[in-house]
Amino acid sequence: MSFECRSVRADVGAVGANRTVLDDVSLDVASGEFVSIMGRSGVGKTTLLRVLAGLQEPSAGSTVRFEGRPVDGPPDGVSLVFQDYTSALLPWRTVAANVELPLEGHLSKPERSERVAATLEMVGLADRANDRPPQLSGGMQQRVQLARALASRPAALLMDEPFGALDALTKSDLEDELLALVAETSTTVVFVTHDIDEAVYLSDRVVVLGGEPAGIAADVVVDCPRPRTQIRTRESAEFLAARSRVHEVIFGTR
Amino acid sequence: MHRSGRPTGDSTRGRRFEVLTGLVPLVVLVIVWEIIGSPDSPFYPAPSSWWPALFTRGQGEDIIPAIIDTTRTFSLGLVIATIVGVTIGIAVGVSARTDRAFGPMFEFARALPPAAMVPVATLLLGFDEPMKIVVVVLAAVWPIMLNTRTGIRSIDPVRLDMARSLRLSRRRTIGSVLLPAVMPAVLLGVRVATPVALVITLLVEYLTGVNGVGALVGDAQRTFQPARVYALIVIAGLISLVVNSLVRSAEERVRRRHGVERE
Ligand SMILES: Nc1ncnc2c1ncn2[C@@H]1O[C@H](COP(=O)(O)OP(=O)(O)OP(=O)(O)O)[C@@H](O)[C@H]1O
Ligand SMILES: [Mg+2]
Repeated sequence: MSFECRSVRADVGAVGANRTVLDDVSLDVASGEFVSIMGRSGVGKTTLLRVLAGLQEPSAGSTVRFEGRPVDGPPDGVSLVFQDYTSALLPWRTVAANVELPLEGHLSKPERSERVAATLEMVGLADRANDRPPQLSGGMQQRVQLARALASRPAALLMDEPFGALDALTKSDLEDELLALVAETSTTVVFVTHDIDEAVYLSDRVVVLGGEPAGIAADVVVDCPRPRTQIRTRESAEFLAARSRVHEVIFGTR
Repeated sequence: MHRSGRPTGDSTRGRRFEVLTGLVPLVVLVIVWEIIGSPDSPFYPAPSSWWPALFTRGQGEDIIPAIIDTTRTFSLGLVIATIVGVTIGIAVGVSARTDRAFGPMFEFARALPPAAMVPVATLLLGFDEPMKIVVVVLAAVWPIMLNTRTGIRSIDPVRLDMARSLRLSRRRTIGSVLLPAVMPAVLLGVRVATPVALVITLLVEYLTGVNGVGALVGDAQRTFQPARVYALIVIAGLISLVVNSLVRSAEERVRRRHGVERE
């Protein structure tokens, strides 16, 4: 099992002015599984992801484990990809140096360069290694972030609306690249998105958060075979069934 | 984020032109001064008499050492102020508790006029270079500290989450994320602190007579050599011009590296 959450409760806001966002969330994510988290804006998706990432401590009584070990602080083997690539990348470092950042202090210089080159090759940015992020398009910058997340060879990727700021074409390219990469490396992915089609296309399961405080409103299994392709998968009966199920739950939990 | 307005050859030339037009009033003033002033005036000796006045009465050998002294005090003061200001700025920027603990003390120290510290500093440290440097640091440290603090506070929380989730060590977080992120703010602080540091250097030298261009100005004034006073002031101005342009170009370079537009 990759992630295990048992009756997770989480509060946000300053001490004294806090409110409970998540209550009694129990969720298992198997190794190599691709799970999407959905729910209307402000429901607590980012909060749940931050709890999984060890960036936010859940309330007492909650259990969060990653590969069997309790999460207290960012666990080894978990990488986070943010929606806001402008802040997540360091503009004063080159693309290669950004990807190298998590490896510094862990690998020797030649090992690092080799790993960086290989990872940039994987996301198709080998020729932009010496540019700085602001010189790249949004899609390319998000690829850099993905490369940085993958560079440390994580067992799990947590992604918070990673393609939310991209145009439709770039988005579907990146979706396919992501699927190919995680299939190749059998990485577990927890993926937050607002886009029902995207969630269903990518995932093995779509988990919908709902209520206030939010719990799990639905856990929809997507039965489409892999590898998936943008056109064929999206036309399949399984895709359409899962899609309308998720739709129903989201608009039913208002 | 839009990335228009990159510096081009044209705009550099435009700026150079602006600098030249900016000099016009000064040139006019000097010319008028030259026409109405006279070499013997006790208040407004003509500009043409300033330069020779540096070397009258067997003087002149003291100019270069004085410039070196002033430059050294000023630059050491500024460097120390930067190190101290950035350190304190980061400490109070990352921790609200440290900020509350030291805030009132900083407010008090900041409100003290630097000239008022001169007697205390001479008492404690004597008439010596360290005394000069301490006074300069006490005056120049504030804009650097405050800008660093603001810079740290305005770092996007996503960037801090990023550093934490990559499990960067504290040292690496400071060295690879925080410090580079506050560099533009720090350099803005340094730019504000630079003229302060220079003015205070000259003031301390003038008040205590301890070496440097400021001390020479004091001497020249006490011995009624107005032309020499003006000449020394021009030298001080030139030092300031050089230093300011160095700081500006450093700032420019860092801003470009950060992908930030010129203001
Ligand atoms: N630092 C904070 N202080 C106070 N309230 C917060 C803070 N962070 C989040 N919240 C609140 O917690 C709730 C859940 O936020 P969260 O960011 O998890 O939602 P989300 O589902 O990710 O929303 P979105 O889809 O818009 O990203 C929201 O109502 C939000 O206003
Ligand atoms: Mg969110």
